[in-house]
Amino acid sequence: MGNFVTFHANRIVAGAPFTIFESAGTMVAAALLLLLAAIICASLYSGGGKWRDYALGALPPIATALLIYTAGHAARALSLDATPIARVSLGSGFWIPLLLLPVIYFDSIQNNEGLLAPAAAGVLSTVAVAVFFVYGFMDDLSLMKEFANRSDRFFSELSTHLTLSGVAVSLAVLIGAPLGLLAERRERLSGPTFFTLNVLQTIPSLALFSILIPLIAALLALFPTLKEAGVGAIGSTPALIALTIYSILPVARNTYTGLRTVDSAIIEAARGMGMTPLERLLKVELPIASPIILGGVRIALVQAIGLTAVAALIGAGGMGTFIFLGIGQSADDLILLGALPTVLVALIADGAMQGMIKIVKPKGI
Amino acid sequence: MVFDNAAKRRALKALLLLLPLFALLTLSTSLWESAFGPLFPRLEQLVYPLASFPLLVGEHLLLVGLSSGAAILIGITLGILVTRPWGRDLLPAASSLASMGQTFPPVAVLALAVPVVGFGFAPTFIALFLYGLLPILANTISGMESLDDGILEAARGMGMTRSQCLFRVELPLAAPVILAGVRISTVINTGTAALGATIGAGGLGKPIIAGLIGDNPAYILEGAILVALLAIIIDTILGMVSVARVEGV
Repeated sequence: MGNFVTFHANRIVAGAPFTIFESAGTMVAAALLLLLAAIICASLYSGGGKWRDYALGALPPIATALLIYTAGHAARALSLDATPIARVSLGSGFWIPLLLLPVIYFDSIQNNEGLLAPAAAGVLSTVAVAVFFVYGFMDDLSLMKEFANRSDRFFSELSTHLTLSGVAVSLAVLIGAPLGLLAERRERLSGPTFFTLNVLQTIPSLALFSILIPLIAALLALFPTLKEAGVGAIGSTPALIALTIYSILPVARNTYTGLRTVDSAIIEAARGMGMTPLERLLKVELPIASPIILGGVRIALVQAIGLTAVAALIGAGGMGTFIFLGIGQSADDLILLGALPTVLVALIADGAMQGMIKIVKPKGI
Repeated sequence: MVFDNAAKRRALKALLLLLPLFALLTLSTSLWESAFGPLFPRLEQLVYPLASFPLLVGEHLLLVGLSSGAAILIGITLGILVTRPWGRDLLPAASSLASMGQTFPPVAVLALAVPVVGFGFAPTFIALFLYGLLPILANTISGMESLDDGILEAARGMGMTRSQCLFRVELPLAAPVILAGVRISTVINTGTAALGATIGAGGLGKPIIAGLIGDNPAYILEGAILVALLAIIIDTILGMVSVARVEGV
């Protein structure tokens, strides 16, 4: 299994790798490896019918929880007779299964009928993992030590991150949806609108974020009243503007596409029933187009959560703060402390939006 | 949006404007000096001094070219393998890996490469390659899967072998979708490569980062304008290639 954890005598020195057996003990290691072996066999074996579906739906979350527990257990075992400044970081033997298990799990959810077993296993494992973290089973891992050193900062940056991406996507919906509607109603405008939005989308995030700093500084020099209103050339103002610009295209494009896919016979029928254009839009067209429009919001949201991490470079805060702080100090665990929650938040937002799209999908379409 | 001749002509016109502009801005430092002199009278240094722009553009193109080239090669190959009859068992896993992986923020992928590989060119290359692989794999799969069974039947009925069928029928028909994936992947890589400067990869992100740290708006604008132009040029060229393919079918 390669190197499961690495033991460092302190934060700076190179570490000594340990396998899962050496670090977590034979019993725990054997249980985890057996479970992983069962999942691999089940995913490679194409027969088995219902039992295979159950195994692939329920075992990956359980194995993920066990994997995380094992990592905490290994860290504790290695830290027992070490100094407090010793660090135990995670190796490829931990990360590779952690990446593959969710792929197997989500794949089985998408392709199999029964959702009860996977859902129950997913919820139980999430609760178990939360318990591991809250009750300190994981505290000896270096990642958690970095967290413990800055837990206040962690939650404030997390909330900055969520606020920035949430506000930007909300603004983008307020701008992008009417823009998509306008482009659909006045076809002549659709070419220039989407051309402009596409060009803006193409600009690399680092470039757009940083170009805005001198631009806003120039604006502030021209209109000093803006400065008094709390607008700053660095920080959240340029970040919000850039994030909103990036988020408009997916929303506008999907509003346009969604409205275009509404069958003209349905619009005719609504007109025949005596609906006014506004009623048609609100009661017929938008409900039918809503799954596609929300699909655009989903893309915008996932993208904005990722891009907000870049905004730390222009002083806007967010999880990128830890990423770039960690890069600056070459402290791997600090990088992970920023990057892992960003990935997790993006995955959760993606899943939540997918669920919402399933709910709003009109029946019979 | 429909690609047509007008779009292609527009793209060509845009390139005729963008390419000379980009070349001029890359090669001439006096242009930047004369533009920024009056704009930022208090700055002592107006042009990024640590590397010439042609060198930075070269580093950037090398990084994007190598990583995207590898991603195109491996992505399309994997996409073909999992859509063959004997590779189909891996298709669901490959497509969920590709779609879930794209949820990962590019910055996070770049940052996660550092603990594994260290600093510099190598981790940036690996992160760009892995991240660039996903849209190409996803689009190759969806391009191959969307082909009409009737066409494949007809090709087989004409006596084509499997490989003839692949290279003369399936790949050409799936090409527009695959090339759209290549375009998305390469443009994202151009942007993410700029972030590579934070982990010591060089390229056009360097002046931006130096400007952000040293509070020098001139460096910021130089790097940002050049990398934005580069991304738009690459996007326009790849857009034209996919138009050409659509017409050929």
